[in-house]
Amino acid sequence: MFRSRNVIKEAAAASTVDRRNLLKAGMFAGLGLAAAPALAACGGGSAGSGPGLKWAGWDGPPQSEVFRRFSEKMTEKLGVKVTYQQVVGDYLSKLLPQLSAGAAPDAFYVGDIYMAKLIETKQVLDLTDYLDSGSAAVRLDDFHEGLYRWCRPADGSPGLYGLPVDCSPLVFWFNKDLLAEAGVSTDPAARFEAGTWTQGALTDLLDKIRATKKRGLVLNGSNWFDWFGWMSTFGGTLFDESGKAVFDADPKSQEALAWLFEQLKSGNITYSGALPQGQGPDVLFYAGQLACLTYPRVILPNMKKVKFGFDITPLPSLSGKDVMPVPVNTAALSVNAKSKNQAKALEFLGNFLNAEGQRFRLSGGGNAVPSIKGLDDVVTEGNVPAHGSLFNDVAAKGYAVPSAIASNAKVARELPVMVDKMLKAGNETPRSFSGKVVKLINGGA
Amino acid sequence: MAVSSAGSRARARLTSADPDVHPDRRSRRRRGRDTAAGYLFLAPQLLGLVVFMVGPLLFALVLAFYHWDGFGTRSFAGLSNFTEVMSSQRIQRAAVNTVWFTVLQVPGLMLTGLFFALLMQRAGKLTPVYRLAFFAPVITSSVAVAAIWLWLFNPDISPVNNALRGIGLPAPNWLQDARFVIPAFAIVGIWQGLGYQLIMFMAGLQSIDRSFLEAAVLDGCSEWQKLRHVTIPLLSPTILFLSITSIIGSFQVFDYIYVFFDDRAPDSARTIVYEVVRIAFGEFNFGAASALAFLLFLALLVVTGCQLAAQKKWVHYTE
Repeated sequence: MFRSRNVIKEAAAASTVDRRNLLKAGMFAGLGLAAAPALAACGGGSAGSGPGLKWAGWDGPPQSEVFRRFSEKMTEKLGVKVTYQQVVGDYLSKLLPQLSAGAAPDAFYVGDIYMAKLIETKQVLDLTDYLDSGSAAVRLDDFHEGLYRWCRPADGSPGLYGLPVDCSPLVFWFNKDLLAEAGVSTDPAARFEAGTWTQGALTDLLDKIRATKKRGLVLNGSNWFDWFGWMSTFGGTLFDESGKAVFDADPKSQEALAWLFEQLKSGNITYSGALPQGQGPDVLFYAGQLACLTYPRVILPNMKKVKFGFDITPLPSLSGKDVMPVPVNTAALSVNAKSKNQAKALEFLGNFLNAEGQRFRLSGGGNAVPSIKGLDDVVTEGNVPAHGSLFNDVAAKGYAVPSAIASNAKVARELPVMVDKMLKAGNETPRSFSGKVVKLINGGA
Repeated sequence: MAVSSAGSRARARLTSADPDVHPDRRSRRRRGRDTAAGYLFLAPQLLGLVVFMVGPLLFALVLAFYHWDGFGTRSFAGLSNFTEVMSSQRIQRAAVNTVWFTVLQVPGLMLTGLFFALLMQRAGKLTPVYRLAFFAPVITSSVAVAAIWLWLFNPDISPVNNALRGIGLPAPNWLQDARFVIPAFAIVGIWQGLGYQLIMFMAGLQSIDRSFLEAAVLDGCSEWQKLRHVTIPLLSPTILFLSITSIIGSFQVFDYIYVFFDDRAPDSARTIVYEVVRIAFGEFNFGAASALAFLLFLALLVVTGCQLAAQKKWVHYTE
């Protein structure tokens, strides 16, 4: 018995697979397994390196479902697997590392305040050759000109590095029932059609609403998009030809700002920064507590659920009949300069942005406005709102982010904070207010 | 025969030592092999630590001395990123806000945590229920917590404000009034972090030897005296640990601000980490952001070092 035990011990000792070796082997295997995903992740998995085509944006449901169907359609058309990557959370902070690591999608959405940086650092492809090739699925002439200037290099050099996927022009929404209760006999849309939708008409309307103890209008925020329109709609010149901000010295802009400050002071217009945090003007509007709202088409799905009558019109003008230039929010689709599927990515871009692509994405409950001409029927679906075709008119005349803001991320970030502070403090004159803003914009920081 | 011979050699390697090698050297070799094996066993974890913690930390430190927009080539910046962030009034304001938040949150957390832990000692059978109730916010996403408090801080409908008005106090516009925005963050932070503090204090209280308290009773101590002279000194290791982790956590506050204000927080609401994110991803200035992050790291290192140095004077270890 003892002998047999010794034999076993000897055999174990002689074996090359002893316990320590077994543990070591297991440890190395474990190490390999643990490291594999990390090494695979470090390896990239660049969208451009595979056979498929990946594109990314920030839109979640329900739009992501439309994108999924569009990707399926493109898979058939382009002959490569097209996949939409929905970026959840902070889009930019996820896109930047991907670009830096060479692992970004083949095509992706670009917001207006970082396009300039992507152009400067050659992360996005110049679309000029593709658009001039004659075989492009979309033509530059199809787009409203004011909507893609920010996709050009800020220094004025040639090139176009993205095109707007759609747009969100600022229009004047109004609650017909509240206006009627306040004794406004002719609503803004009717006034616009009659050519009497002027600054005076709006002031009169807001005076009447204030008398009912309801809110008339809310100045929607402190970003350029929220208040530049009040100067340009009343004929102000905001930037000169070289792109420098000049509204601190432009008489019409100053008059418009003086009017705006007067309305804020009288209570006809409320600054949204004075509302409780999280209580947006759109919510007040849905609740019937706010008579008028300057907002893009994005609120339409919610507006379809309200119980009161509503409609839209352009912002008032000095003439009372013109659609004046006002801000339009846009995002662009660009092609990754490092994509290994550039030809297919460009083809995808063309199909995404052309009339067929925009109709596919924006029809049936879409909440944006086409960025190209000739798709009027998309915004008049169901005849809601009654003057929905005006969305297109405003988009055609409107302007996207000014280059002076788009080309400097620091200015773009600081501008709304600075304006918010001044509007809350309420102790600036139009001239001092605009002087500080212009200094920030032209000064670059 | 050959197999038997190989087996004998293997046995010899395992069981007998080379007579030419000094015993100390053999011992060192064995220790070296054991150490190497230990590191190999730790390797999966160490690899993760190096790749995901040490690597980025060193990269951030290097970046702090460069101008870099996140894409292009880096250029050496010397100390200019540090001088830029240290001379910025915006960053100075954020630093003051961060310290103010810490001053409000950390004592608030610890005092309420200790208070409720002491009460929970008398909760009897309901202890697990209370523990669950207090701990629920800890495991709730900060984003969800902030979303709830966004409504609780709405002055038009806020029950907090109604309660304040009920006892005759002014009801502030929490998130819009520059004086109250940091206290508002502290309230949310205390509400969410209380459960963790409570559990830690309860564990600390349970580890106190009953004989100390019984001896105090025999000596005629009142409840307050027992707390003051027995419980708190014996809880001091727990208090030290919680104060260190709470201060580090409060210096890194970011999520509430981001949910409350997105990327447009006013000066009065910005903290250091908020500025780090903003400078990096909003202004594409990764060098300055890294410099600021490194300064924050240094500040935390100094604060934690001071806490550890001071512990000799007030922390009592029973073992």
